Amino acid sequence: MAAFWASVPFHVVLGLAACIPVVLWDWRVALPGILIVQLGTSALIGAVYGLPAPWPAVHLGIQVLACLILLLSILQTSNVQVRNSGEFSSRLFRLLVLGIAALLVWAASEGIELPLVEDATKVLFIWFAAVALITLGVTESALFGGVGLLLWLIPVQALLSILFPLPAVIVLLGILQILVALACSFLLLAEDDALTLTEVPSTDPDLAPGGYRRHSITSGAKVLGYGIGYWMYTFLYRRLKTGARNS
Amino acid sequence: MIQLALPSFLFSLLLLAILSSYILRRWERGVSLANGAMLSLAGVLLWRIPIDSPLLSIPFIPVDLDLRAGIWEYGFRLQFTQTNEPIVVIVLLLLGSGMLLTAAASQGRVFPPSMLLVGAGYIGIALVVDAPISPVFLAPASLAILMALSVFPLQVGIGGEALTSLRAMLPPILATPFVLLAAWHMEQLPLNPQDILLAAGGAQLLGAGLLILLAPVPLHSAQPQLGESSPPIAMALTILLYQTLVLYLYFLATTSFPLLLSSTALNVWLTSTATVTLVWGGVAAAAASHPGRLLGYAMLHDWGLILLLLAGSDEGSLPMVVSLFALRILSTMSASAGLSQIRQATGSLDAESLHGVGARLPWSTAAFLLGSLGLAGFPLTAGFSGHWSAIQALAEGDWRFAAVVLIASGSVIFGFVRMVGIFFGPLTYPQLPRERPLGIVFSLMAILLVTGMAIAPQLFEGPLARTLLAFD
Repeated sequence: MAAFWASVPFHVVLGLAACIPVVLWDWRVALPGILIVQLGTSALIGAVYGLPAPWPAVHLGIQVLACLILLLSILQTSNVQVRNSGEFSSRLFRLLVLGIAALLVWAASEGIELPLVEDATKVLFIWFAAVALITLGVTESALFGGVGLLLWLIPVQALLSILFPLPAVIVLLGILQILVALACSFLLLAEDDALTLTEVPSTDPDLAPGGYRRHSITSGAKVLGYGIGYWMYTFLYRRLKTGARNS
Repeated sequence: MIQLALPSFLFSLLLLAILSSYILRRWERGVSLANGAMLSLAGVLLWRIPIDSPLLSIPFIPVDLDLRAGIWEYGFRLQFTQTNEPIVVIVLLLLGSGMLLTAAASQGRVFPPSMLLVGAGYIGIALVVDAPISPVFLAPASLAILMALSVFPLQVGIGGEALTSLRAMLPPILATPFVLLAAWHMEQLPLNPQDILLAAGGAQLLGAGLLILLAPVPLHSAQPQLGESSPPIAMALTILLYQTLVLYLYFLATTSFPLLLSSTALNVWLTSTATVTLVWGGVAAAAASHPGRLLGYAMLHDWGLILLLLAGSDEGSLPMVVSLFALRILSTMSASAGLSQIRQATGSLDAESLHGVGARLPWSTAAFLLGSLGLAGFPLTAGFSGHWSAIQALAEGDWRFAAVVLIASGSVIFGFVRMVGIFFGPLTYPQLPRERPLGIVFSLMAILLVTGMAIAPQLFEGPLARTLLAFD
């Protein structure tokens, strides 16, 4: 099984998964994209580099939590611009930048030393970092700023866990990931003019003095609950319908 | 009697301040005044009491305080030492003065507890003397955590432009992997003492991490943008606290790992980026029409000069770096005290609402202008003595650096001359309220401090000598 995780095709698939959020620039793709990248990276460092059992799962758990924190704010914000846009580039431009970055990573990775990791993993981690920097470079919204930072922290967390499999380092970086997600989710609410001018985001009782509160933590949780519930309902309903049709 | 180690006492004090300022946030002014006075007093007492003094009894509380005792939790040892003493005192005084100024000009009700939480974190980083990995290497990750937390006080009370706060988080997050990779290299050194490449690689990675942490151009963008988009006191505290810890980290790293200066190009990189930083700060300040942004660029120019002296890294430049940074703290806090009063009175810092504001808010305007001009080394301001010595020292090495600093400082001063024209022009809003008594008191105190340091800079010699002793 370790041979599969260490294989070049698996690394290529992970690398492609990392750049899909940048190309499509949509939160509905970006958040699952981050989770897929994290899942693959956790599996890689667990199976190939022998990171002790709880830590790869902890990495994944933290990333799921970070994405849920971002999702909570996305569902609360009413600003379509904030959700779907916020970059000053076209898809073609981003593809071009990714292509140039891929060439640079390919050329430069020979001269970069990452201790204790195989060449394929080294290139993959540098590629993740490059994609994260491109995301941070072209974004004009807190949402994709957060996506870029979380993407940057995936290889950082993985590499440092291999080098220092110490609880102190892993916990410290985990705290950082959660706080980055919290900060970006707060900024996502703050940059939504409609929300800050008329309502008070749940994370800050003083963001808009004199405003009234419509969105609270509980209402946000409700929205999140409804969202997940609706997704589960449609998923199960379609399966049941397909099953009935087949029988 | 309960015997308490100083770190436990400091965290209890800060926890009390955080809880009281959050629970009693409706009485923001009174609570901020009380907390500000308490923290300032704690800072002054810590500075005055010798670190090796016996157990201290605290009046009205059944607690004996042990200054030398540490606490040991989860592999981290926190202890008050002679080395971290100036940093802890600076953070306490900054937090104390920030809270006092908040009482005069509110920065948002959630600002005091969130800022105090961030300040407690900075004290925690300074107090760490032992950790599973050397504290120098773990500090960037902790700084990144604190900068992520700083987003909350920076963005409190304002909506709209949110990416600026995000940019402030970038340098420590980007620096973390470099510094921790350097830690791995350094940890391998005892196993392979003959491996020169290992040592050089570690030093280069540490140098790159420190350079990113120091955030010269092109990583500077958060500084002027925060000046424009964030409440002035929040901006000043966030930047000054971060830079205090980064400079401390730089001194610790260069002292512990001499290879950093001898076998890397850190000084070359620092010299070139610092020169660009101070020039860009000056050029952009000349064109800035927003007073917050202007203050941000003046701070950037001053930071560039500090980095340039840091790149000198000889025995003579350390006192100048420390003295310039201390004067920077005084000037910035004075400027932000005045600017926060102006922002409170006008409701906005846009140039069109500031015409003639100097006639209605003379003390606040004077505090802002004197503080800001100190960042450019203008005569009769706090920063003059520091800038003058720095220019002389640079001229001894290469006169062109001194000329560049002079031209950039002149450019910053030109920006403030334009601002004076706006402040003392015809009044746009005749209904603008006059200054409030507490605001006048704080502005006067700031003016006295700034001009006092300009007239008698020798007052600063004692604290400077003690700080230098701590870093030796």
